Amino acid sequence: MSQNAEVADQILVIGAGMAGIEASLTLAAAGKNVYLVEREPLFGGQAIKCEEVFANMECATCMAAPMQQEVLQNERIELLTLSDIKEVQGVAGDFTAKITKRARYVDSEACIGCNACFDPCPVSLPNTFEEDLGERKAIYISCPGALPNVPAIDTENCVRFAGEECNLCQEACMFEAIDFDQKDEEIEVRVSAIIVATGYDLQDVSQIAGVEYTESGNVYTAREMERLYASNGPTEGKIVLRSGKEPTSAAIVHCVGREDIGYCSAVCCMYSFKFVHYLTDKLPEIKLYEFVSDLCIPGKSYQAFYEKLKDKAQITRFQNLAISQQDDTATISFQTPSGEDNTLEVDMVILAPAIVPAKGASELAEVLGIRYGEAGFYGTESGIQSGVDSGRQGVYLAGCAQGPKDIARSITQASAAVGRLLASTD
Amino acid sequence: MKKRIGVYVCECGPNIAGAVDIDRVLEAVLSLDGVAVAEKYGLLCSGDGKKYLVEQVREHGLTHLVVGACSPKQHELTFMTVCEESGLNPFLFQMANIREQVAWITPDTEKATERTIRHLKAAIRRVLYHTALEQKEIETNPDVLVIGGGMAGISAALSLGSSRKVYVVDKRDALGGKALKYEKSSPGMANSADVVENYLRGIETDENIEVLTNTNVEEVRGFFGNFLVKLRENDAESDARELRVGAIIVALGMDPLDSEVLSEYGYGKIQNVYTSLELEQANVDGKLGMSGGGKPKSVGIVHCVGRKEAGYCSEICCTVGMKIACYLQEKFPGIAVTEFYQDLSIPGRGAQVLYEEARRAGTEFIRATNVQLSESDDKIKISYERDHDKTEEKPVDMVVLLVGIGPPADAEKISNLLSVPLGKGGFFTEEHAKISPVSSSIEGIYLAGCASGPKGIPETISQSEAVAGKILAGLVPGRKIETEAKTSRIAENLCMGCQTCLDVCCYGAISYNETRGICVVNEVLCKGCGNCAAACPSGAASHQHFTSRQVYQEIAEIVK
Amino acid sequence: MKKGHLLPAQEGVSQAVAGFLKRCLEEKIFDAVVAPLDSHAGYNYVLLDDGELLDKVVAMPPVMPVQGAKAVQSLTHHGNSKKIAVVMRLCEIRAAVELSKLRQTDLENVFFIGVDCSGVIPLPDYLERARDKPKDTELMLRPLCQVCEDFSLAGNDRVTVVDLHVGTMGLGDSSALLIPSSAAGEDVLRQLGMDSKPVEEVNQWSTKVGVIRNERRKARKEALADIKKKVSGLEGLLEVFSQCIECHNCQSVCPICYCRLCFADKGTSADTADDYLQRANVAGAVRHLPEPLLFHLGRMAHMSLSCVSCGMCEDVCPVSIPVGRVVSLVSEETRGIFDYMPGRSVEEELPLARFELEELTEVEDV
Repeated sequence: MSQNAEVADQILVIGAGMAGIEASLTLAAAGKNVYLVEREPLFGGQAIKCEEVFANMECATCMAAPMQQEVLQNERIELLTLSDIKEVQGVAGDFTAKITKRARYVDSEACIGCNACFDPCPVSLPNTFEEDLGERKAIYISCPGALPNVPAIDTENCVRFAGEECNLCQEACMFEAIDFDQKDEEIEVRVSAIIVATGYDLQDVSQIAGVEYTESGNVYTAREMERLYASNGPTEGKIVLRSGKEPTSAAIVHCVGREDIGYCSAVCCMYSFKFVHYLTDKLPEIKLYEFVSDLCIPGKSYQAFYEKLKDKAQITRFQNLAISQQDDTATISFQTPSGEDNTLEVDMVILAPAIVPAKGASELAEVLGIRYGEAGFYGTESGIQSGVDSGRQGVYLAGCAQGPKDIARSITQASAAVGRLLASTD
Repeated sequence: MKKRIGVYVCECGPNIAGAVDIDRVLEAVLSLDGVAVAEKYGLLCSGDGKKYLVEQVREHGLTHLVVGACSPKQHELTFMTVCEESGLNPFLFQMANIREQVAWITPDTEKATERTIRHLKAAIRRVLYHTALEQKEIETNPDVLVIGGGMAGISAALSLGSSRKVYVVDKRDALGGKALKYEKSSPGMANSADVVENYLRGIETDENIEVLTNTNVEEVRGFFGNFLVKLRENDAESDARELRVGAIIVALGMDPLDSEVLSEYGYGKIQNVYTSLELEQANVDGKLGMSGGGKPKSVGIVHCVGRKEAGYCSEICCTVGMKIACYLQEKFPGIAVTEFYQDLSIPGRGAQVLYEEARRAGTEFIRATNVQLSESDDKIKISYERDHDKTEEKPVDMVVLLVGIGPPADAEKISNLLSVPLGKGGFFTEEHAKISPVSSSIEGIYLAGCASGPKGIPETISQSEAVAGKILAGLVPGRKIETEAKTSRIAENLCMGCQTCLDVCCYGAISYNETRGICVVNEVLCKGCGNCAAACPSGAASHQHFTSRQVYQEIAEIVK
Repeated sequence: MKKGHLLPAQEGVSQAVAGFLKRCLEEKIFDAVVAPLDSHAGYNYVLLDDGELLDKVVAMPPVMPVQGAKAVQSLTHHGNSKKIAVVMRLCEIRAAVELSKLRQTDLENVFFIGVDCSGVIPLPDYLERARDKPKDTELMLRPLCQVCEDFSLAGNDRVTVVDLHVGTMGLGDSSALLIPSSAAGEDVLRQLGMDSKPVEEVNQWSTKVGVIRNERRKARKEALADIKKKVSGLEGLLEVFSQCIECHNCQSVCPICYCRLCFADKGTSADTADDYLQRANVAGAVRHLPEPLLFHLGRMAHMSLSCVSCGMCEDVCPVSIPVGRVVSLVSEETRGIFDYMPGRSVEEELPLARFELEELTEVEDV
């Protein structure tokens, strides 16, 4: 039984956003050993892309940093970044998971995060973390302050990995941390339970009927807005359009694509008003419009937040809205609730797209043997339960992987998943 | 004993070595009183570096350690562990940040070197005044007290009962709370009363769970892992019962918002105007219908009742309204149900499904403001403004007012007993609204359910399970807990018992000893924030590891 | 209009007050009395329960050797279960109230009898010139007494803790008023069968007090403006306190300074001669003993919110620094931020220890 006794203390947590971090920390406090698997080169999920979070406008990175530091320093938690779950076999109490840990090509022990290897790299390309609003090199960290503070080599774009002779980054490194010979690792772990905290993605706005969105126009997604305002972002917090000009007017559009997607994403109304704060903070003279369908601002604190900001924007209820882009502007054509047609031309449009399951969610569901609902989120919302049940014994859910929710509820659900997990092994 | 300080400057590769003339720095500090050795090293945080430091401490018989390197945020813990390994108390250590605060901010080597010397001298001077601090361990009691036997309380109890004793206390004569009053629970529309009965059966059969109905909490003393609770039955004549527990869960639930605003809608004056809770109860009792027994042919459901006065949205009323529409359509086929709402708050797929179901069953949804009720013939006239500012009227047989959620009636009493503050809306305040939503600022006291804010049953259960997770992880039977080492101390001979420190302590860590007329710090509860030390005018309260003397010495040297 | 009981005082106000107190003791309304007595040691607060000794009561002594609040602190700090009547000036009562917020006085069984105060003479002046020549009226009052607005209860809503007040101003030498100012005060008069009516004398008293108060108010404004000019800027501050010898007399006699060991005496700095020489090199020279500015600023940070402008500190400063006026100036401005009035009521919490949920909104971003 001793081998099984060991396994009982090993847990796999998939996804190292806020929910995954909270689950890992609670599990570690309980004396469990955690494999925290994250597919990106950095961890912290979507939250760390925000400069501030509602409703107290707390600095998101400052809020997450102590938790992240704990994860990095806690001996019970092994953070595996650049890693994917390939296969899961077994039953509750004894799962075997195969994990592919992609090579970073940088030795994490040797690297001290001085960033000296970036400058000499000859390759520049759009940085997806920055929603392509900024660039990065082929050897890179996603943004200043990314954790772990160790770069990775993007082999798809690195010229050396394309066959050319180049070791400029290696030459620039004083710590001999760059290792081109690193290989992807196949890791096998035995765990007694799994927590799925894979988070979410935003709906692809280019697929929404009636919305003209191009990567060079004046229509922005919520994530792009977050990166524009972020002090560690591509413009260091300056609000400038792709043209280089500052917007004099902006419209924030809620519920775009809501009809098709078939549910409310819970957090967009709040962050859309957070954007009013963002924009008026940097551009006090800007003229703002909020296109609202139904205000979703539940709870004891959210309405007060809305009340503080609502007078800084003109709030319009709409139906049948379409957005088109022109050279320097964007136009919103919509109907008021009474059926009147209207148009509005603004310098900038910011969309609040729906929250959808993270990329690869359905594939992962197959690997894990868990079910997902119509909208693609794991588990089920029926019955009276906390949502942590995945349908497969021993596999629990936490956070937006289970359905759209704010950070507070993701964190709660993560602890709930751990609670269930610990109670079932007692 | 003679002080022997070891000063080590990390080159950090080119980071510090390339920006600071380290040799000059070492020369400058070696001449200081108390410095036994000053050396540089390539990378102190590396495996070799740490070994080197341990050897150095032993070789030179060092009594204190000073390291000039990166930010303490990065490696203070690392070097404190090195101290422990070499037999040195980890608090006889000071770290000077000469990377982020010096090397990385100026290209001027002269200035950087100058400043590095200043930083190190300050650290050396400060460390001389450090005292060895010990981290204590205390025994704990793993049992749990749950205050409130509604959904939040009983689901928490069930999650915990298998590993420890759980006491569920409720002032009412039965468990179950509000959830027993619902036939179904929205948005999932599962059978609520059934689920609650199941839970209650689970509680009955769990030997570890003791249910104390008709009981009040009279007094709570102690701290996390060691609470002493006094309970007394409603009948004040009975004896008090004392319990020892390690954690307390506040699961008091909610009460509907004040009835004052209801009268504005004619409630109590106009017949057949009910609150949502009344309708739920009538439904469960099989008495759904009009007063006098008739079947309603039309019903108006008014949303957001009390919302303006309360200043917040109660989150669940929209889906409750749709649930009620479904009840009515099921029980009275053909009935015309109209929902008068302001904003539909229906996050998530489940709520959307319920909304669509209500629509399919024929429910009409009208976005309306300024809803007013009056009697007209033998019907109720609802007048309202649609969003295009047109006033309209609709006569109905019955009206259901969706009343918002307010804090529980006992909130203030329990808040005072536990020293857990009430905040927005009069609900219990969480330790941190986003990253610590089920903990209070008092360690060991947790919040679950509507006590901390309006929410539905799924979220309530999520919170209860989350609390269970925290307790299962943090309060393990037989495991001792480590306390904060850098706590505050109050000098008995200087304290005048003014209790200013007690007033500013957010952790309930200070208590007043009446017999001695002084304040005392509970080292287990103290989190080392230093508020008391800052507030005390005579300096009787001091913050270990951040005493006025230590801080003054560091500043005095920095500004020299 | 306030109601009052006219107390015949043919033999002087002190005698009238003594008579009143005697009756109170006889009828066991109080267990004991604290009042200023003219004893062999000068004027002192004396605790007594023997009616005979009350003949020596002086209702309005010309000096304040001890701030009355300190007497109340000394008496009640470790608890008090006896009913004690305390006869004091309003500034002393207010200071006692402040001390109760700091748990240094226990006012539960204390019955406060305020007295109109026309001001006191600085103790050194009195001892030197007036003690043996009681008729010498050329002596000036304490500078802070000269600008005091809270010398009487008439028209004053800044002191709500007084139970009974002895009004003397504007009434001539042969009468005094007993003004009940709380339910307890009214009760005592009732027990003694002393009626309390809106008599004409109350009007006279209020009017006279009003006149004096207006003058004082103007004078106070001028005095504080004057001291503000003198003490402004680092230069001014250093100049005003340049003579300070750090004897800490001001701190010892201040009723609000309750600390057993003043922070300034804690020995926080452990500067060596090398340190001082360093500073001398930078600043040109360094005073020994070093500048006492930190002591004064620190003390003001600790007690200025509760300062009642009694002026004890200036009485005892051996080098005549107008420290009381400086602290009064600072007090005016600091308590203005919190709309706080020291000694106004026991329920009014000290700003330092009070937390309001809404306070954070000024600091919040949005």
